[in-house]
Amino acid sequence: MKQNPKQIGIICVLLVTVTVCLGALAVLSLTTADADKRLAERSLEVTQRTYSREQAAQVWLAQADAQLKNGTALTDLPDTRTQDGVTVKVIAWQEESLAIGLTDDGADGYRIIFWKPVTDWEPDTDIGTLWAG
Amino acid sequence: MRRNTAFYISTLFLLLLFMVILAILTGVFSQARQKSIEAQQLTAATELAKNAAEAVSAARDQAGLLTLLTQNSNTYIDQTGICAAYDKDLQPSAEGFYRVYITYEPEARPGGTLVNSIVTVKTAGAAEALCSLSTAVYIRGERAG
Repeated sequence: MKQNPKQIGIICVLLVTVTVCLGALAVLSLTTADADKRLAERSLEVTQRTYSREQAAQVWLAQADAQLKNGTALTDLPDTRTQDGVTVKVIAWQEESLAIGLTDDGADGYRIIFWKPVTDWEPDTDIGTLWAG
Repeated sequence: MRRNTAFYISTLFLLLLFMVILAILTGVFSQARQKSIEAQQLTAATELAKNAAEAVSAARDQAGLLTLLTQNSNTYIDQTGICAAYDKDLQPSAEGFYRVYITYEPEARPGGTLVNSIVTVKTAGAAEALCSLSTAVYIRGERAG
């Protein structure tokens, strides 16, 4: 029985094609899954940071309320600034901050005017090597 | 005869090589699947932890927190705090796949109560937590229980 030399070549080409396709799919699925996992980890980090900052802010609020109850004026709270009648405290937590604005609410102590995350952002003003005209 | 033998040997060699490559690729696919499951679970755990932390902020006391979290009898209280169970679709379920453990530690302050809380998410039966976060809420003029 004689074998045609082309037969082994066809099998070889088929196997190489299947292997290359499977290899490409394997690499693609691994990189996608890896990216998904890194994104999930990043999302968790941001969430943990947000709630840690919230915790620090709530602790400060409790301290501020205690001082107000002891007769300290809102404007005399340490590490605060007053702007348009609103006493502002900025709580820095890692790269982000939380700004809390309080006003005096008479017998009730304080009223929260704002409670917002603040991120220092520098706009990129460099326009590169664009043609000036 | 010699040509036949050469054909069979080369085919066998090719098949062996193909099987080795398939074994390696199966490992890569399996690793990808594992990472994908981990990513899915971590995303779900983060969502559940966020929801629980918001419930802590909204509740006036531990009983209120339990009321906020309870659906389909998915919660119980033990010495460490509240446990809430959720299925894989993040729906409240008594025999859920995800378990959210919430500690609720009220601390009396001159003007009210500061409640510190740690939210931990695990899968059912797992010793290691998927994720954990700590938060707090200050409740003015009252004592939270």
